[in-house]
Amino acid sequence: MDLLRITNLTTVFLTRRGVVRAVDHINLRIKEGEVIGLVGESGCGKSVSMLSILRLVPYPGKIIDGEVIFNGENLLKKPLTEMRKIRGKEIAMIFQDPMTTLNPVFRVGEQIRESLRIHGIINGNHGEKKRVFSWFANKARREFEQQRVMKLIEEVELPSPEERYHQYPYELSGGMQQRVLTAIALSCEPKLILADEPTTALDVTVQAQILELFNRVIKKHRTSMILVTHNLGVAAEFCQRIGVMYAGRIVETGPTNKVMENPKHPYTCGLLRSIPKISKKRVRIKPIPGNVPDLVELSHKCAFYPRCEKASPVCEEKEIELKEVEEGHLVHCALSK
Amino acid sequence: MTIKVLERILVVIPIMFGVTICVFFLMRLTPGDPVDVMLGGASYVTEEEEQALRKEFHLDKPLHQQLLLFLSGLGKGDLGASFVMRRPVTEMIAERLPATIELALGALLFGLIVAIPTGIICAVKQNSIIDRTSMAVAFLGISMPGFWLGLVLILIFSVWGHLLPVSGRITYGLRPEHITGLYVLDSLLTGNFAALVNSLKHLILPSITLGAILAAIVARVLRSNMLEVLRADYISLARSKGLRETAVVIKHALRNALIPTVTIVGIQIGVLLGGNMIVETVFAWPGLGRLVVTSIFASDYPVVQGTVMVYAFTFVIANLLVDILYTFLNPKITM
Amino acid sequence: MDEQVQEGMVMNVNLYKVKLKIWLMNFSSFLRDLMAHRAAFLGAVIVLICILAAVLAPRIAPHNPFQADSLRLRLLPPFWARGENAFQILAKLGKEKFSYLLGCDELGRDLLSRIIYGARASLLVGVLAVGISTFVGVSLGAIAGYYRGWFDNVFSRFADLLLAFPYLIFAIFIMAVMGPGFSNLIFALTLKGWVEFFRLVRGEMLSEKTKEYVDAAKVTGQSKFIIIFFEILPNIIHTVIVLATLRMGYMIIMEASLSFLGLGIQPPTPAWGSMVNAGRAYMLNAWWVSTFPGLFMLVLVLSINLLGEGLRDILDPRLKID
Repeated sequence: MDLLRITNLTTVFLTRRGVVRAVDHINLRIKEGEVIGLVGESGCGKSVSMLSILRLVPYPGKIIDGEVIFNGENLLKKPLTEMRKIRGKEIAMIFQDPMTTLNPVFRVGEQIRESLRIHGIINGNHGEKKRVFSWFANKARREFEQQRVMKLIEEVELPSPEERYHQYPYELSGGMQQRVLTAIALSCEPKLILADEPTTALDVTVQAQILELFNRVIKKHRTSMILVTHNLGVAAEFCQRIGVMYAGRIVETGPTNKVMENPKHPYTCGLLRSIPKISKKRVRIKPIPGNVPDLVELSHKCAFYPRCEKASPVCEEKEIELKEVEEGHLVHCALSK
Repeated sequence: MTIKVLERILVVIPIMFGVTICVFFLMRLTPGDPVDVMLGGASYVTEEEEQALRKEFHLDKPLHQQLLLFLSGLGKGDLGASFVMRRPVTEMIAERLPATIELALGALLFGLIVAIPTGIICAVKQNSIIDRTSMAVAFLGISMPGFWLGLVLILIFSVWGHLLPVSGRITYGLRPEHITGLYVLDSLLTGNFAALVNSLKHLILPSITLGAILAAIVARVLRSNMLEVLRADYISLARSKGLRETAVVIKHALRNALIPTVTIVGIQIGVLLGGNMIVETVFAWPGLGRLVVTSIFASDYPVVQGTVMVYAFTFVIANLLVDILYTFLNPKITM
Repeated sequence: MDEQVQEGMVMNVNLYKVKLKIWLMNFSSFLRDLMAHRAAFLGAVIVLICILAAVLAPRIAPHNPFQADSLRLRLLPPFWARGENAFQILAKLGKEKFSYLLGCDELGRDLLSRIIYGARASLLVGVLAVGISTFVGVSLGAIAGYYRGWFDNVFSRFADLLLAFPYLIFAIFIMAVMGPGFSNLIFALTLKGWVEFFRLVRGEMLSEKTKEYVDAAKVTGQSKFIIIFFEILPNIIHTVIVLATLRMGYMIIMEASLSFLGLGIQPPTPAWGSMVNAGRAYMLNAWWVSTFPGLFMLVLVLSINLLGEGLRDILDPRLKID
């Protein structure tokens, strides 16, 4: 049973220059406990896809097509009040730059606790928010929340949790801040975590630590995760399945090892070829020629066509369908069999 | 934290000292002999009486001694005596201070109550009708001379509309019992409904006139700060936690946007203090501002000196309080 | 040896010729931006009209602003509010029905003419006060920012001291000490006005000083004076211009406030502030005497502010002070 199924999701931005198709008919599926990666260059629409799932796309963006089925319900059709119950509780998000993502005027502990408060997690039951006015009940609730937050801080492996609780974000290093963000995401025990380039702003050594933390946490809570990154190495190590995005479309998806060893889409091939490798032989890196296209008014034809080395007249003619080349391995290319 | 606060207080003391010296010496630069001014050119005064007058005001002593006498008097809270009224300046100031405080509070209240919601709403609904109209009005507000606004308001509401009184603080005879000197507060405390209504009616137009420019500036600044803050990443995070939009704006965005706004408010208090004189003159409000103006025309130098010093000190202290408030609001400064 | 020095000097001159050309190109594109910005353009046009009116006042003012006719023309209403009585008076004087367009003040002087002449006072004060403040503030700030040391300390402390006074209070105090009058007014306004420019330029100088082109100029042996005023300052000047324009409106309002209190420009010289003050006594039955001068002042300051904000949008969007 799929936990989340995205079909034909399309998000556009209505700007003065024209309509920017940031996300163009993408399809994605994820099961419980699965980790999938969304890989692609900057500006290819990965972040916007994540925001679209939670319907947090900023103005002037609009989701104009598609379905996002989570636990059997279409999130795009839900009223906002219900959507708010899902945000943070069923689906949580971890953002890219922890320094700017944490509110600088609130203490760290308070920010983690806020998630608990919003969703009314009292006494361990994920009940509805109850308005408890008596001071004693409030005190008990505060203490419970504080304990819960402490446990979370410990779980994300932050040293000296008591100190951390009362500190401000600027007092922490990048890695520590990212752990705090992870704690916030985990606080209500979500079923799905959307991680938008969580390691990009961090040092390489810290990156590895954070990924390991994710690993442990996911295994422990049986949470699913969509990991968005432009770093193929990270995706390869961490994710069970991978989706490759280009110009707002998913051009190839499949199990990680299959996509990495046997890439079928010319863009994926180009990406893999352009990674510098440590090896005995000195090999010239082959970058993909050309630039990412302007996302205003692309058509349903292949977006990679101008840069593709295997381009042929077939690519320009018809609408391109998703083809399954192996089991679970899908490619969006006119030339694959 | 307390160290920072103490540091700021310490910085203020030399400034206050400098202000005192400044005011003292500048006052002495006035052309003419103060004694002549006091006597108003009366010819029947004898030589001894003139000398006695000089002695009374220490005008026969050398300058540095006068300064020392002044400073020592200052330490005891004595600001000298008025040339015209022959009363201690401190007494005259204390009499009029409540009126000015009431006006300043009224203006501050009006200004902030209008400006803060406007700033927030305009930022949240950027480029809407409300935003454009409010900002146009605010722009008008900062281009308008205060005294003109006051006169136009009087024209519309008092002269033509007969809704509000033209000037003064309260109708004669309706003064409430003196507890704080603030008529609105006193009438509330004593349950004097007639006085309350009357004093409020008198307070409205002057408060609006004085508070208008404060409101205009704060609204613009707050709006621009809010716009910047609302673009920040932590706002997205707050939304992704499932927080209601109102809470996102007020709890997360406003807190951050208020920080630079508070600094601007501190500076604007100076404008409030200055405009205070104009508004008091326009509305014949019996406060410190009017005292300054009338004393200048009466060449009553000790009073001018005293009131200017009080204004400057108030400004310095107000800025100090704003700085301290800023330290509390912005956690990064506590380091 | 001599030749080399001469060559060096010629090179310097050529360098500055090139710089001037670049500056002129920038200026023309700036003018184009200005015309495209609707609000700023409107503001600029109105300001220009006011300046023209002020300069050409003797030619365009319909009547002599000083000529009083207190008996017959006293408190004549503006042309749309006149009754038969007023028309009769005008007919007897041999004037047309619609002369004295905006009415007359309490001494029978034509309000419109006085307003036009009043523009002179306001604009003159605005330009002079801002101009001198800018000159003094920028020079002191540039030197203080570049050299630091005792100069910086002394003037910064001085500036802090001056900042302890609210602007109007300080101006009133100075006017009280020195007495009313035009030059005293300029002095009073400038005495506190330079502080803002001082701080701005000093701050900018502190950060510009560390940039590479300054080192480059030093290496070529430029005198410090030329570096400060011809290398660094042109890069800072746009913020100064924005501040100066925005402050000009404020100075004009200051002058009007002081004149309103009776401490500025004295009657019978037409000045908008004192005209409003004079009209206060007659507000019940002759509202126009106070209202129109203030209205014109509002329009002028509004236009200056529009222009200033437009300049800020074009020249330096990050300068957001109010």
